[in-house]
Amino acid sequence: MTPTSTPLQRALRQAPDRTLAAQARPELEFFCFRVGELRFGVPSENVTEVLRAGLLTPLPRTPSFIMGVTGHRGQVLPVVDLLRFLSKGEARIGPRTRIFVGVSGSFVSGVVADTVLGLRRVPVSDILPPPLGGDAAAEHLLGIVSGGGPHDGLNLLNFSKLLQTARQRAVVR
Amino acid sequence: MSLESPNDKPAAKPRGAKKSPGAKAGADAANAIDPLKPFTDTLMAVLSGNLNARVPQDRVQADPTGFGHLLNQVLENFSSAEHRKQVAAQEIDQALDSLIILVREGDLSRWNTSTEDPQLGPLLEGFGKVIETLRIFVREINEAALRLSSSANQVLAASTQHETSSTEQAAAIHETTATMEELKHASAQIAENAGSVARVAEETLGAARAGRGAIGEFIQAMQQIRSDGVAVADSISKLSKRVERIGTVVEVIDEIADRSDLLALNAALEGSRAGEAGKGFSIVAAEMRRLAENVLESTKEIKNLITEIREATAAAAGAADASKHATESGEKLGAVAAQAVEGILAGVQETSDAARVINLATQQQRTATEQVVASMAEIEDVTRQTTQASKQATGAAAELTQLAGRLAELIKRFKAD
Amino acid sequence: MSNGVLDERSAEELGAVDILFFQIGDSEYGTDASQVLRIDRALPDDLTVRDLGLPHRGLRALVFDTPEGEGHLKVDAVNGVRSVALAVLRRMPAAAAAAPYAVGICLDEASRRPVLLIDLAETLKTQGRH
Repeated sequence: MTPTSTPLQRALRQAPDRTLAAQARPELEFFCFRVGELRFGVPSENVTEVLRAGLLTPLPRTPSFIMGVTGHRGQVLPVVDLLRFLSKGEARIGPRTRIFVGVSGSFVSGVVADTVLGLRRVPVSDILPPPLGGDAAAEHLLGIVSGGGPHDGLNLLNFSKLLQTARQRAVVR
Repeated sequence: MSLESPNDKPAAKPRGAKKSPGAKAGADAANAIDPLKPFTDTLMAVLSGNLNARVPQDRVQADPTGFGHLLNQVLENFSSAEHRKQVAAQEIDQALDSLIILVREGDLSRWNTSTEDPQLGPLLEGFGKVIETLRIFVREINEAALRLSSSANQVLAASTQHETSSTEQAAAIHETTATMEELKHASAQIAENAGSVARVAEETLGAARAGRGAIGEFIQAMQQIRSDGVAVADSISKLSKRVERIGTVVEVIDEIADRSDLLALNAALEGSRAGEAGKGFSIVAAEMRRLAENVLESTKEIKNLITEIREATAAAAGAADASKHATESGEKLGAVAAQAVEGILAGVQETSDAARVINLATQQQRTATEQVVASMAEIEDVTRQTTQASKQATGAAAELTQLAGRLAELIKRFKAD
Repeated sequence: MSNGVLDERSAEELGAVDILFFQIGDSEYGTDASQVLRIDRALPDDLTVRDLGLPHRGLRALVFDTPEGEGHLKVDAVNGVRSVALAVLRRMPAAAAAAPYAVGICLDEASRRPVLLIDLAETLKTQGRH
């Protein structure tokens, strides 16, 4: 070890010759949003569009997690309140509330989001399994990403499963 | 003259003795001895005081000489003379008694002496006349004394009253003089005060004139402020309208930014679906989103500013309005004040004039008062003399009353009735 | 959840239907105009469907025919009858699992939000069920 070496000199000795291959670190892309105090990620392939919440038409005697319907591109979209669905509270619709259009197979549904955080690529290695023995919400999670700060964490949703469950719950009634 | 007088008594004994049976028996015996004895006995009896003693009738008849009869006649005459002498003496005594009483007690009423005696009669009659005259005098003097006393009393009363009223008058005059003195001082004070008032009124007049000028300037200033205020209100109104316009523009910007955000999001999703080819697209979309978010942040700030400006302009408009009202009422107040000052000027002028008149009048009054005081001093002097005189008169009247009293007292000692 | 496949028929082929729009509280609803016999003054005994919201004053009643006789639904106002193209009508998505009388949605441009279409005869059945 040379006594004259600096931190930069040491760093440059370890630096790679070319850009590291992306495949070396596989990533998944998530559509990230916040609703209430919770931050979620939905696989980006499940999200087609983001809309303004606008005015919803409430429906009589639907399950409580169906906030109502909205018309979008000539289609009637049921709008889901994730907080109610996961028993984490209740979403509120304000002037800047968004609804994203989620798809899974032939099923299409709107989901309420207070703020859209954007698309984020998450290294698969960063995804931790959902906590065992957690609450009922855990069964709809792909996993979690613990961020550096207390608000950077993400709950990655298994959106297809979520839509399936929702449909089952509605029909069972 | 009474027959019961003590002079009769010695005569009774011999007569009784003559009538007694013993004496008759003794005489009978003597007659027998001496024929002259009845005569001598009778004479002896008369000499011893029994003036009624007479030679008994049987002896007289028996005496042919008539001596007994003569003797009896002599004795009768003697007895009658003696009797008259006694009566006169008695009447003189009585008259003397009456005189003594008259002198001693002054009783003129008891003089009632009369006599049969022709020699004594005129004397007593003369006395009676003198006493009667005295009686009339006494009566008249008595009446006069009574009247004098009453008059003296009246004089004393009148004099006393006069003295009292004179004293009162003197006191009143003294008081009046004192009051006049006070009045003199008071009017001097008033004159002085009126002078001060006149001076102060003069000063006030100056001040009020200055005030009138100041109020004029104030009203002008108020008018200026009002017109400035109108300009300010106009500016505020324009500003308010512009701010509202800015608000509308900001709403539009907001809307555009929100749409941009949505567009960018959807573009990013589109890019994501395009796979590796859409990667650059996604980066641009993300950048666009950031820009939209920045715009939204800025518009949020602008909105806050607009809200603040709106509040401020509302406050300013309110203040301008208040200022307008204030200046209007200020102008009104100024007009009122100007009017008031005009009134004050007129009032002060009047006051000044009045004070001057008062000063003059009080000076005249002072002169008049001084004259009155001098006159009062003279009157006081005269009154003092009058009082002195009436005091003397009262003293004299008192003395007179005393004298009248004494006179009446003296006269009372003489009893006329 | 709803089938996203586009209908192959063109809009013109489908024609139109008369829809009566009415108001209960703050919400607008639509119903088949032919189902409504008349509009009447509301009576105290008239039907209210709690899930559609409570009427403000409820002075009007929609009178409709049912096999059991006339039904009276209390409403606040009747907004009018419009001929609505079938192209803007949608069946109620099964996933929404709404009440049986909520039969469809009208995506008419004239309305600020999708309008829920009601089968009046079904409302009476629902009410009977409770």
